[in-house]
Amino acid sequence: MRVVAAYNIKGGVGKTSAAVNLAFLGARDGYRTLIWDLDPQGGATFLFRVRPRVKGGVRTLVRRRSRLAAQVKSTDFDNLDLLPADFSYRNLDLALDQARRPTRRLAELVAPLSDHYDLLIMDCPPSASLVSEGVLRAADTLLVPLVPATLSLRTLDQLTHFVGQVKPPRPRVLPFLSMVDRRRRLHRDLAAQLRGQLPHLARAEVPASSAVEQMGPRRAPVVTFAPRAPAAVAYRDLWQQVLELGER
Amino acid sequence: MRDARDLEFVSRGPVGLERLREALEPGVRLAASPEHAVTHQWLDTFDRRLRRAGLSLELATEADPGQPTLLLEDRGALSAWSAPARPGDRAAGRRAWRLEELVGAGPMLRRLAPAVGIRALLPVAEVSTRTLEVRVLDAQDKTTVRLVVEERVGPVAPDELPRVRVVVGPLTGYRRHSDRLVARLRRLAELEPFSGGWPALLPSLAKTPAEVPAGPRLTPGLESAQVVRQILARLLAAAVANAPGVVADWDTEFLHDLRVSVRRARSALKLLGDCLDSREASPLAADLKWMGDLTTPTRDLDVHLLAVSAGGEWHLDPLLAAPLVPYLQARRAAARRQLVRGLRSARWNRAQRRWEEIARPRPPAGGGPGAVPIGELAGTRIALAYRRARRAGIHIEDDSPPEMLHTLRKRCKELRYLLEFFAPLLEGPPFLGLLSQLRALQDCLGEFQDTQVQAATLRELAAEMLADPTAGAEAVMGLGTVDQTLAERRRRARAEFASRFHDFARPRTRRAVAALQPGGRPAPMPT
Repeated sequence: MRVVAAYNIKGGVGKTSAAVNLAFLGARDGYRTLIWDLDPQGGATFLFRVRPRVKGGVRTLVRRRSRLAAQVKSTDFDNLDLLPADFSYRNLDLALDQARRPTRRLAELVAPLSDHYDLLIMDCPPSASLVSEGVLRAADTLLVPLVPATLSLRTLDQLTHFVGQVKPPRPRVLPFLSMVDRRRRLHRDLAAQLRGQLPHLARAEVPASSAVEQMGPRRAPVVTFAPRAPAAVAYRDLWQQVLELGER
Repeated sequence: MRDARDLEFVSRGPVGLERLREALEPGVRLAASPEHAVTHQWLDTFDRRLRRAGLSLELATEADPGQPTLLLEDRGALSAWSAPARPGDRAAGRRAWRLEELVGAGPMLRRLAPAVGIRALLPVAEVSTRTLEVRVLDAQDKTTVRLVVEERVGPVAPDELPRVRVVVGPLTGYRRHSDRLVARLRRLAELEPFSGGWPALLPSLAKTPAEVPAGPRLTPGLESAQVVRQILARLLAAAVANAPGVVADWDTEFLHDLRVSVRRARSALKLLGDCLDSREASPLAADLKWMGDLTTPTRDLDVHLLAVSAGGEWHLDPLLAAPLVPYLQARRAAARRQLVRGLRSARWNRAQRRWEEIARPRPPAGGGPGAVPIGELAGTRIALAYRRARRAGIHIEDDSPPEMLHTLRKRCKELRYLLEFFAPLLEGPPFLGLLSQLRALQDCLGEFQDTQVQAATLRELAAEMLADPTAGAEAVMGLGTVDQTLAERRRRARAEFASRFHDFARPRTRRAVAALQPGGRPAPMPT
């Protein structure tokens, strides 16, 4: 089972949109896919129309009193299931801290899922915490959305340093440009600058677009209702790169 | 994800959306997609490898142009999933697919590849339906249950058989919803619970490939001639069933299995043919030799192509294999043209008719060599074949010429065929013991001879390629590395031979052979 985490220390950069669209594309290509919404805001859970609730809350889950698989819900799409968010995920750090081997616990929880799924996508909350460390231990690919802003490079540096501190095997980091507004000169310049400084930056570039915003009211991945929109094309390209990365 | 434990109902009459609404409402919100035409094809290999692995693979093609879909059910893991299919332009009329051209890279290919191996996928059942997909929604417009209503179209089965199949697809995490729905559907008088899908519902859907009949039960009291005819009939059926796959070149196993049938039939005539009229047996023996020889060049090239392919026996670097493959493919194409001409020739038809005639069941003769009960004959013939094999190997020393091992291999094959022909009469520890010793020896001899034949072919190929300006020097270099690997494998097999033969020839194995007397007295211990 491949484990891909959409992660950034910063919030509002397009993690959930990327996670939801990539999960759909993986499922459509025949990967038995599970998306785990780890963000207590429950954006992915909302988009897939599932009730944000985990029976027994986060402590029960972390203490393994209930199996992760028992919390899974089907989405409306073939091959795609969801582990819903729960507001108690705001205490996930605390729950992990009280567990044995806290940084390995998330990886231990997802391991049994590999019998049923080919792809796990983790939609992570924005932070650099114990949860993030657990995600880094569980994931083999870290998908990092970067908005074209001056601080983005600094954030990526912090994140790369954070990943470097994790015990091997470390995930491969795949940063990609997100919420790019090509009409704005600053975005164009910063995008070019980031591309020059980051040779491993994904070729896909997700634009800031109304189609992505429409995901909220339509409660569906953009690739389903606007498959020709530039954002949908970008997500397909990004999914291809994620696949290529897995083949290496 | 869909749970593989779909709940099915069937109906002899139509079941429309309105009827479902009537049965399920109030309290259930339904959303239906427009009715559409779908062709369902169930795919499997000729020898039903998917079925044996607990897998079911369906290719669903919608009439409106759209992406055909593969639906895989893994009965062991109780899971079902879908993937886009790439069946080519003529999905419905197509007779065979290579797995990788149909599925493409991805997890479904990884799940299917170990079961399918090198075989092609063939349609084994087909049904066309008008399909209505209905979703049960909750307050958030989230699907909690999927309901599929399929009405078969076309004259595929008698009218007394069900025309409609209703499938409730429970979704993970929403089992209670589907249970409630099923309870309501059970109240509909026209629906009967069912399981197994269309192929189970309409066995007549199962079409190609023809399965080889098992034949009547073998008992020790049957006349030898009758049993030999049965054996020949079974082998003929296998040869006939495989021939279309050879002509169409669906996969290389069709030719392999055809050759095995012919070879076994030759051995049956050689070892047991005296039970039959020699005026019939002798001409067929000559025919079978011709049939076998006809298939050899193509099969040899199949073996080489498999060996140079990725993950093949020669473990060749892809860069070195690249120029070899087209060279071998061109030779194979030429050999196959000869083979297909032969399979379509009057001589092949004549041989097949002779084979049919000799295999035709006849009443017991009541006298003559063919009247000996098979229980008596089987034991003595096995003991004789064992004795021949033992004698062929007993004088083989470390420096004996390879021809002696090749002769022993032939004798071992004859013994193996006899054991397989009479297996239903011989079950038990002595039989299994002998079979196990024989297999071990055959593996060793096979490795020794195959590596030697392959090395000789390699040298031939290298010489031909050196003389061929289009072949390229890299390919010839590649052959050099393979030659070394083959030499090492041959050396290891030769080193193992003595201990394998010792086990085969020791008194314990001889006692096992003597004990193989179905329905009769134990034979004297073979010398």
